[in-house]
Amino acid sequence: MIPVDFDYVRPTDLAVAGAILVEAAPGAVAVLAGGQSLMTELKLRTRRPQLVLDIGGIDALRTIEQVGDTLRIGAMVSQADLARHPVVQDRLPMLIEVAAVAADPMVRRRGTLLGAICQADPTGDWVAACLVLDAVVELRRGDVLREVAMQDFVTGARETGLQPGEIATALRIALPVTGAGSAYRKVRHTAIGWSIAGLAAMVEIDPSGRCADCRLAASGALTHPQRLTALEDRLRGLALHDTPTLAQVIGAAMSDLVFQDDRHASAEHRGVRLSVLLQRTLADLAG
Amino acid sequence: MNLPIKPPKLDQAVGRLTGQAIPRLEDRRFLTGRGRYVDDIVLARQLHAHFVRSPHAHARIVSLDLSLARTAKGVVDAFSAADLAELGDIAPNWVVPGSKVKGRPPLARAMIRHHGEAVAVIVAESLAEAVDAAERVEVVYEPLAVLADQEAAMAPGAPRIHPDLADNVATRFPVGKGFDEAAQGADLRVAFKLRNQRLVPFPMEPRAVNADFDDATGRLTFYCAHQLPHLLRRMLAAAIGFPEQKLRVISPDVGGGFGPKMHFYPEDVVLAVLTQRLKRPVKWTETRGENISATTHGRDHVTHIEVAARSDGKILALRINSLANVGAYLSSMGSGVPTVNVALFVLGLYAIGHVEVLITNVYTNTTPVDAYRGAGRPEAAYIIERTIGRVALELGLDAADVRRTNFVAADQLPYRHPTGIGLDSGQYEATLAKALEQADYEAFRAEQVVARQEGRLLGAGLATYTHSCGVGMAELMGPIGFDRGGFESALVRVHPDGRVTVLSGAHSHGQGHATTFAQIAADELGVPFEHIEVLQGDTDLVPMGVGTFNSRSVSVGGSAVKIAAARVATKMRKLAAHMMQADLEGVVLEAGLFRTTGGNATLTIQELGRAAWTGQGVPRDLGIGLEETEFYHPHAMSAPNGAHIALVEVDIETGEIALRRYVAIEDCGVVINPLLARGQIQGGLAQGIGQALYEDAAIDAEGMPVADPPIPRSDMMPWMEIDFVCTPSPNNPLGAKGIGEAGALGAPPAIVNAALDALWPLGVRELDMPLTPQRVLAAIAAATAGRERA
Amino acid sequence: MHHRKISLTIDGRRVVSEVEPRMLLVQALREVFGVTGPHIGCETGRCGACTVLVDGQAMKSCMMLAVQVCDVEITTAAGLAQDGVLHPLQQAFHERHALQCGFCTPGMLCAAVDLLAETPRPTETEIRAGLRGNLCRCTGYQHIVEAVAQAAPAMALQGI
Repeated sequence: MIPVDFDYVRPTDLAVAGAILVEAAPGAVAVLAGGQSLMTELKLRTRRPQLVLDIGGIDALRTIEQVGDTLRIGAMVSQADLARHPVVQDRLPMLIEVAAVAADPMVRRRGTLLGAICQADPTGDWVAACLVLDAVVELRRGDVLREVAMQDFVTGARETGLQPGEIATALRIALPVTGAGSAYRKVRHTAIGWSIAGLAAMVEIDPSGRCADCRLAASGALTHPQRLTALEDRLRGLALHDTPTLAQVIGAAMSDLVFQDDRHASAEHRGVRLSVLLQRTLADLAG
Repeated sequence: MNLPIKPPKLDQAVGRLTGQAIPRLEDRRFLTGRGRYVDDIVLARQLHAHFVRSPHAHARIVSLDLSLARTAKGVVDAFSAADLAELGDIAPNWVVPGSKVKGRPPLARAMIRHHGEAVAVIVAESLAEAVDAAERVEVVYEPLAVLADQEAAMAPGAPRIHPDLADNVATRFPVGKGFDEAAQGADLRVAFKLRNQRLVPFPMEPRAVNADFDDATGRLTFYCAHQLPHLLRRMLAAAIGFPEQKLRVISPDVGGGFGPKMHFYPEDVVLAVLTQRLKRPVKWTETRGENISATTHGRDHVTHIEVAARSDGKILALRINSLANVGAYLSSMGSGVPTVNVALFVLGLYAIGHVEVLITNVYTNTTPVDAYRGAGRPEAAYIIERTIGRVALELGLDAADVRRTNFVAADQLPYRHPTGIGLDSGQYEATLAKALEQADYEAFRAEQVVARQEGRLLGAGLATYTHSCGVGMAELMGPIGFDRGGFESALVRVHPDGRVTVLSGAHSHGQGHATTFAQIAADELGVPFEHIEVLQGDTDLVPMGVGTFNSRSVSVGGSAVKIAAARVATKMRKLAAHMMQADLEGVVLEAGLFRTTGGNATLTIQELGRAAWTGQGVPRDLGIGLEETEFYHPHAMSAPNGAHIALVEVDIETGEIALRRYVAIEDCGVVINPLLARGQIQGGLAQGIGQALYEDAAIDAEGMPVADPPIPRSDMMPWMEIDFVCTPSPNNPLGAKGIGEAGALGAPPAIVNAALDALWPLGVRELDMPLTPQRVLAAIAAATAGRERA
Repeated sequence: MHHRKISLTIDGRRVVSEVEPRMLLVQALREVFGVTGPHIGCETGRCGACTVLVDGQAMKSCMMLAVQVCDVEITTAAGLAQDGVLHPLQQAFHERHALQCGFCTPGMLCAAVDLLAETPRPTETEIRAGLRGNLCRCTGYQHIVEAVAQAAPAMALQGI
């Protein structure tokens, strides 16, 4: 319940925060954004930093702005504020659906989108949605900026491409221009609200009723949130109303995936739930 | 077991406040964040304790070195079992005769036998320093093979949890015989197995203690979130060799009990000794992790059932063989809850002529199991109601009809089961009928038929239940090894200013006694309800009591209040009659004023109070004061009962169970406050539904319980439809039965029966709780595979 | 070690103190400032008993460090009543018996205040979803749902 003793700093300038991180020895500094992951780690002493670097005082990280057809979301934007933003409500309804089922209202008041991305929890609802939205993570090490596509950024369970000394500063999402339908559906583990299977889906139907394009990402069911690119390929051109064929294609795709197996749900059950989620969600999006 | 059933003269008159749905008098402090829980209390010169606990469920302690920890910043001292050698193991309070008792050690000595068992305690000036210092404790464990499951622990040649015992049996409890004879010629014989899974009770407030020894007076004040303050005082004094009259237990506001806070724990003993050694108050509040591993669990039975029935559904005989996992050590009531409390009630509301029961308490490398909401009676209700449900499905009979066929008939009441327990009163058929009507049962059955044709799986599950409440009678408790009284205390005092204090040995941990008992006292005394203050939870203040468990507080504690208040009221009227020089029969008290019918004299209650408490103008034979104490010792318990119906739909693709409706009809006799009674039922139902669908302590192969128990959240509960039938109990002056535990008894069998009713056509015969989607799909798959093979 | 000065307003009262950076906000409230309404029921941020309003928004005070709050306005259950008059939610909780042991109640009230600020006329589903971060083991939530539904119109009328 009581963290180890640590020092604390809350700079107002991103450059100062960057410099601290660059100088830091591995594990010595913990970055505190929304705290909804870090605080538990501190209380259970699974993380034992010497310094907690609170980036909540950096105003530049609190902005959420539309730049052309891209929405740029700063590292300190809370999930609740994200869900209230008019552009998100208008153009990114999938994120609203995630907000409705992710964690609980108090977690969303403080938890940040980028914090959830950097935590890369296997059950990460936000991660799955951002994979489908082809988001791009902006990273900064000192003065050096780089960008990484979501697909390349999340590499495993609680593993990301965040390098030592780097801080994630923003997420960029291209606002969908087509009339693609989207959805986020989740099978909740009964205790905690994390998913044992979650699905982010964006589907574009052509005038003949076939799938013109689709993007799918699973959370909770696999070892870490992932795009289901092989299934996406097989679905393109498919008439999604053709239930038996759809079921067959989904079934074949499931056998290529490696599912998480633990005391909350077996791999087999996760496979079943993801499969049903896919069938029902795609049928709904097909109209 | 012979019960004296001698009904007293029941006062049927309903007073002004009894029966009214009055919001609670005590709410303000809780609503405004001013409740006073033990962790809120900080004393002068406060020290803080932190326990070092084993991460292994079974291990030998190879070495333990506290020297580095003792020199850590802020640390006053650190202790292991070696430093507390004068303390013996915690003696359980209920020892069923023949039990092989292994009590919990205050701190582990050479062996660890369950996850979270404490090996040392650090005391420091702040909690942070104690936690920091704990990391400097050098302890080396030799992990050993873990035996967590009771079936494995009973296998021949299984390793012994306690090597000096011949095996892992703590208690063997056989009751009844003659199943095979009685079952001869039965049209139906079914054998099946079920599991009543282990649960983490999870009150929102974890355990908390602040032990304060005053060297100058030799008095020890023990703040503890506890359901049984007086019993704690007695057990603690005995355990540490302390004079009981100098030990004061204060249990202030308690954040939920549900059973675990009734028991006597190693930490209690250790902290009481530490404060004496250090001569400063020592404070400890459990973390949730400690609560999950070191505070008692509930349930955990594996039961084999055999039932013999006629083709019309009449049950001829029942045989039960149950293995109860009691954990690594026997906790306070750990030997009796799984045995006596299950065996006595396993026949429910049914007139079943022959029952054979064998229950074996088994030691394992797990957290000790003890009373948890229902305390054995949910296990019993689960057994009998699953059996009735099974018989109905096997015979193709309606589940309600089978219950009616087996019910104890109205003209058989009061009734004594072959197992000895009594059913005092009830209208079982009418209660069931009300539930069926409320649930639109007939319409649902019709809908179910249509749905099946469409490939949709609807199911209806019934459960009736009963249990004895209002412990109890000393004549009964002694022979079963239950070392506590069954009475309850009440002191009722009218002050000189006419205000009233009620002291009760019961102890609310959410039940609202301050309101219920005020209603009862107000009706007797004729004093405004808001002028009555109920105090509990301080052993220096409250006459010796027993405490709150077993749904006994109203029927026993409330009866004590009623009787004491009635005596005070009688005295008040006699004195008023004297002071007004009027006939006793004509004296009435209304709105704080005595008057006489047919006369002009009046007397305020203040004038009366002042006279009573000075003796001035009072005849000597009336004595001083307006205060009465009652130790109410029940002559019989009562048997609340009810009928529950769960209507479900099972999604065959996902295994999810949608609980469409839940109806509960309860007969708890006279209801003092229907608003509070509903609250108790809903809370019990939430825990019962939680058990049926979500919860599991889920001890794994390494003996570790689940880190985050699946406690139901607000969006996981159905809308609970609740109503009452009232058959007053003939066994206490209030006519009340108990209500606190009811929900936990009815919901698990109702919901599992509903799921089985839905899945029976697919060939599913067995289902265990919690009914996770994974389990449901596995059952369907197994049944389908079985059919395909056939 | 490394003590930091913090200053904030709690239930209308301005307070100042020095705390270790590792001290949780809920610990500061309870142990430093004597505000014991927010309770500690777990160490993983799951139970919600520590919920308070930070500048009007419901947050778990166990998931924040005390040093993070500077010049914020914290409202706990103790600060909801005005001039001794219970807040409509407190009044509704009382009338509907939406509390038993009371341990979850201060947090539940704060969560409900925020819920109704966001969704002034919530459906039963919205109430249940809005309170899913607050565990209650006593009530089964039904009376709580009724109380929130009852308070909603009163709060809308009062503009709170």
